[in-house]
Amino acid sequence: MNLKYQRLRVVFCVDDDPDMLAIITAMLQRRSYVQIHRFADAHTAINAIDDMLPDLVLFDVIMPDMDGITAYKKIRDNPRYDGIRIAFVTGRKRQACMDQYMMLDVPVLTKPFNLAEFENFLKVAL
Amino acid sequence: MNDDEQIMEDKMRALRVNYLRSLGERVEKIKHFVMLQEQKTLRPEDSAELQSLAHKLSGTGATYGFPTISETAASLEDWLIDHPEERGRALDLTRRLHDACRMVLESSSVDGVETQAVVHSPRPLALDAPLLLIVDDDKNVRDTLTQLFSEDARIMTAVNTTEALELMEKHQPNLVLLDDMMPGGVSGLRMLEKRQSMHDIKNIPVIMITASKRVEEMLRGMRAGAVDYIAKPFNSEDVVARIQPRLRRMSARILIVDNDEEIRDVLGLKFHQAGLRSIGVENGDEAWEILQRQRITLAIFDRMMPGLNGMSLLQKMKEATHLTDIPVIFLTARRDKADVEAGLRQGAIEYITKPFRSDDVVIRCLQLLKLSNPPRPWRDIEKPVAQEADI
Repeated sequence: MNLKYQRLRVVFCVDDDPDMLAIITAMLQRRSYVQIHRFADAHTAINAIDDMLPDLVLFDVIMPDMDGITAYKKIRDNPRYDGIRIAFVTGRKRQACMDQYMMLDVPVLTKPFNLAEFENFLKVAL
Repeated sequence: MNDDEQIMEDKMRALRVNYLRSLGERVEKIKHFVMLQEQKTLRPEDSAELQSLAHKLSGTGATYGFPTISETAASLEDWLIDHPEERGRALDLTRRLHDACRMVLESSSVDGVETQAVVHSPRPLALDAPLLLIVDDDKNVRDTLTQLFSEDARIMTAVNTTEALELMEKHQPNLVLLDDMMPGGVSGLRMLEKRQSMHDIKNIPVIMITASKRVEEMLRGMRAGAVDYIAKPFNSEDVVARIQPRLRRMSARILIVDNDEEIRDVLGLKFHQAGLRSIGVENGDEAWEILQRQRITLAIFDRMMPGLNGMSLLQKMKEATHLTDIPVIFLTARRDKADVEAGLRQGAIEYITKPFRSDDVVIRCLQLLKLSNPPRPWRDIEKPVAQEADI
C-alpha cells in the first residue's frame, strides 16, 4: 500500500458498548491514514460533525436515546452532509432489519465479526 | 507473521484480557437475573437491562474468540424481543448464557497479564513475618490491599486461582485474600471447595473477597471454609481493622512452660485455633534456652517445675536487659494470697490459678497483646469447634 497518496480519513465510531468501540478502534488503527473518533451515543456524534467533518460514520443500530437508523436519517436530511458516508455495524441479522438496510442502501457489518470481515466491510464503506 | 499482524495480535490480546476481566462482573449480573426469574420478580426494567447485556455480549463474544457467548447471548436476546409479554420466562436461556460465560472465564488463560512477584515492603520485615497472598484480577484491589498490609506481612499477589494454587503449594502462605470471579482459572469459591481435598493447602486460612454484600454469597464462602470475608467495594479502615489483628497474631510467639504435657498441648491447640503460634517446653532450663534463641512475644510460666522454677526464671529474665519487656503470665496451682503477691511483685503481668479454662487464658493473652478482633456479628463462625477443655 502506498501511503504517500492516501488522504487522511476521519472516521466516527458510534456505539454504546465500550468493548465494541475498542475492537473497531483496534482494527481501524491498522491503517495509518485513518483518524478515529469514538462516541458512546449518536447525539454527541452528530453534534461533532460540523467540527470534524468525518468521511465515514459507523453507527451501531441498537442504542439507547437515538438508534442508528434515526441518526442516519438525521444526517441524510441535511444536504450539507451529503459527502459523508454512513455504515452500520449491527447485531440484527433478522430479515426485516436486513431489508430495511437494503432500502437505505448502506453497507452493513453484522456482529460478531472477525478481522477479515471487517477489512472487507471497510473496502466497501470507506 | 509481519509486524503489522503482530501489532494487531498484541492489541487483540490486550483487549481480550480487558474483556475477560470485565466478564466476571457480567456473570454476576446474569446470575442476578437468573435469580430474579427463579423468584418470578423480574421487573420490566430488569428485563430491558438483561436484553441490553445480551445484545452487547452477542456482538463482541465471537470477535474475542468466544463464539459460545455470542450464540447463547443472541438466542436470549432474540427470545426477549419476540416474547415481550413473557419475559420472565427466559430462565433457561439466561442460565445457558450464564454457563457459557462462566465456562469461558474458567477455561481461558489470560496471556500477557502482568503479575507481581513478591512485593518488598517499605519497612524491612522479619523473615518470619506472616506471608500474605492476595488473589484478585483487579490491579487496583491488589495494589490497595498490598499497601494496607505491607507493614504487617510479606506479600505475594496472584491474578487468578491457577496462579494462586501454585503459590500456595510452593510458599504455604499464612493467609490468603481470595476474589471470586477471575479469568484464567476456576472461581475463587470453587477453589475454596476444591482446597478441602488438597492436603498441602487445606489448612491455609482463606478470606473471601466477595463482589456482593448479599448474605447468601457470604455464607457460601463460609461454608466452603473461608474464615472471613471482605465485601467489595470495601472501606480500607474496615478491612484493616478486620485483618490486621489476624496478621499480627501470626507474628506473635507464645512460650508455654509447664511440666504437665496435657496443659501444654491444650493451650497450644487453643492458641493455634486463635491464629497464634506457640512453643511448649517442660522446664525452666529449656525455656531459658528458647528465650535466648527466639523472639518471644509472651510467656506463660508454671511456678513449680523441676530444675529452674517459674519464679527464678522470671527473675533471670528481669536481669537480662533484652528479655525484660516480654510479658509473663503465671499459670499455677499456688493460689495463696502471698504466692500471688510474690509472683506479681517479681514482675508477672497476670496471675492465673489452676484449674483454669483454656479459652479464658487465650482471650486474656489476646487482650494483653491488643490482638483481639473487633466485635462482629459473625464472630460465632470463628469459634473453634473443639470441645471445651476445662482443666
